[in-house]
Amino acid sequence: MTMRIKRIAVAAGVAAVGIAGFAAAANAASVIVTPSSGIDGTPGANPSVNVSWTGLLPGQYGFVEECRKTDTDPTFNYLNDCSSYNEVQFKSDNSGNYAGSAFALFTGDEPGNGDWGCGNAGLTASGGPVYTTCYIRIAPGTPTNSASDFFTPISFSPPANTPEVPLNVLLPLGGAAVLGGAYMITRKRQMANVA
Amino acid sequence: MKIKRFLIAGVSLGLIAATFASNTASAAPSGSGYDDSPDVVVGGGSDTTYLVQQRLDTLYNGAPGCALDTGTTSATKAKCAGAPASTGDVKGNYDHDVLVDAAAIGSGAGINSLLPTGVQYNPPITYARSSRVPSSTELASTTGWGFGRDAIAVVTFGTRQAILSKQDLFNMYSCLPGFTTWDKFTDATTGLKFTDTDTVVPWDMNASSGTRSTFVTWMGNPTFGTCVRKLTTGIAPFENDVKPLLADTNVNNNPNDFVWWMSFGDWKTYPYTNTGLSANTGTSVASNLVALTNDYTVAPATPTAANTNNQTYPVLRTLYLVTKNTDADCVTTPGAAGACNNAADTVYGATSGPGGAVRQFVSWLCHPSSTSHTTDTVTGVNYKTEINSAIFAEGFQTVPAALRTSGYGCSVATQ
Repeated sequence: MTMRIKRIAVAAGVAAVGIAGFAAAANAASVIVTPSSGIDGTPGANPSVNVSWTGLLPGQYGFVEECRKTDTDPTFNYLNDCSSYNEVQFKSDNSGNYAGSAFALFTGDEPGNGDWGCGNAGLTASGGPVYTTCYIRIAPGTPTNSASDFFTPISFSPPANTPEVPLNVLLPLGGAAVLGGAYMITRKRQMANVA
Repeated sequence: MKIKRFLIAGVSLGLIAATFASNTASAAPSGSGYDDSPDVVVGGGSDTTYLVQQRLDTLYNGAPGCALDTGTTSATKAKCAGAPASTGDVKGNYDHDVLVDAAAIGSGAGINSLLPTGVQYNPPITYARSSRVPSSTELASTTGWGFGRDAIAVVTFGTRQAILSKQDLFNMYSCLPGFTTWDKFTDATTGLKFTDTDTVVPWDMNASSGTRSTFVTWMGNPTFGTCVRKLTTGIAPFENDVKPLLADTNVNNNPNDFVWWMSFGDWKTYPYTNTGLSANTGTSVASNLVALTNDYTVAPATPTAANTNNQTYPVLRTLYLVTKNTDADCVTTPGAAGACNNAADTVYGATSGPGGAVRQFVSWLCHPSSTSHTTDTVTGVNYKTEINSAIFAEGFQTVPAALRTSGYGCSVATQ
């Protein structure tokens, strides 16, 4: 339990918030994704991020996807560069805001085609590259909306391997225990010999 | 030792050359549906799968195949050159068959056209599009090739956002006394019952629709009561477009009281179909996704791609291409009764003509992986990825591995 609390605290300490502004929209909108870095990209880790926004149209659905690139890349095609597999949609309130929900990420192979992936450095997808930085795409109204969609970068890295007790404390204690054990055994043998 | 190494190297090079040849310039495979001649094949039926099928048609029509006779005045112009010793890419559309799709009138009407006792479509069709699984009667002479997945979205309109169960909807569509007003059902915004006592207006749908069939079956086959609404023309509205409902001038046409259903793929891909001008309010009214549950023991959910793929949404269905089972089948004796006994992803059936063309299209559509496909010579993308993208582009999902028939990338329905 102590370990778990400590890890969460460490994760929270390094977690960053990703914000995607969208100045070109008729209604200036922004998306917040937390955390946006330090996400465990180990295949099967099943991490999630919290997605919220302000400034969409009242009652408008925002379609949320995990992508390998953004539309600043001229070759971007949401069908090939975003995953339909874990896509969800959230509905804006009457002010066009969304308070936030967890969005489950895939890590490792993109589950639809498997020709790319998102995750920690050093991984390989069965059919292509694994990106350590992927993107959360919010498409207002329909997944086909490539004219006014938002992208927020998220980066993956292995979880910090934080020991529960620092080594500079653990090693002397371990040494003392070994010495103590040896002393006890020796003492017991001496007493047995006396008896 | 040296000779052995030389032989191994030689055999390896030979194998590489053979592999390369099979991808580029091989003879038409024997025992297939190819006949060195391009056939025009027409499909018809489902509205839900009309657009995705047109995308698949375009991909297949452009897929590489045999080298063509380009002779301006040749009698075999635009057929495979040098037939029967033609060569070409056998992983694409070898004969350069042409698929086109006729207008949508509903899955049932399409499948009926393939039955021995059925009435043919206009224009005549060789395969049917279907958004429902063929019935056991239909499967006596057809095979269903499930290539995509879709959720059924139940929708309300305007300010009404609801949570409904299967039983709620059964009661609504049965017009059961005690369940005809909205105060009997749950408001998604509060989690409590609606406070208004407006009369529920459940809408009907075109009887040939696979979307209707899937939804009515899921509800438990209620007998539709007299409260179930048709258009003022007396006709049940066509599936997948809310505009005719909203524009209807019948009495009690307050959109806040309506409940209907449609393809989730259509709903999310084409906002134009999920919104319309209300004759009642004179304003544009949007539809809202209902959070659905089988029986309230599972948390209600609106449809998403994610819960379609993990199969937790209550009303999911497979999208099919339906063929005569003598044209394309998963049993080694096409048309014979029994479970699939296919070797790998082999499709059995007709060996020439339009039937053979359908067989080859099905084989192409249902290959399980990219290794069985060739590369699109225009985009440089493997056709497996392009097929999947065509399915995603229309808001649908591919068939999950757990539902695929062994050997195929499709879920096959057979007798």
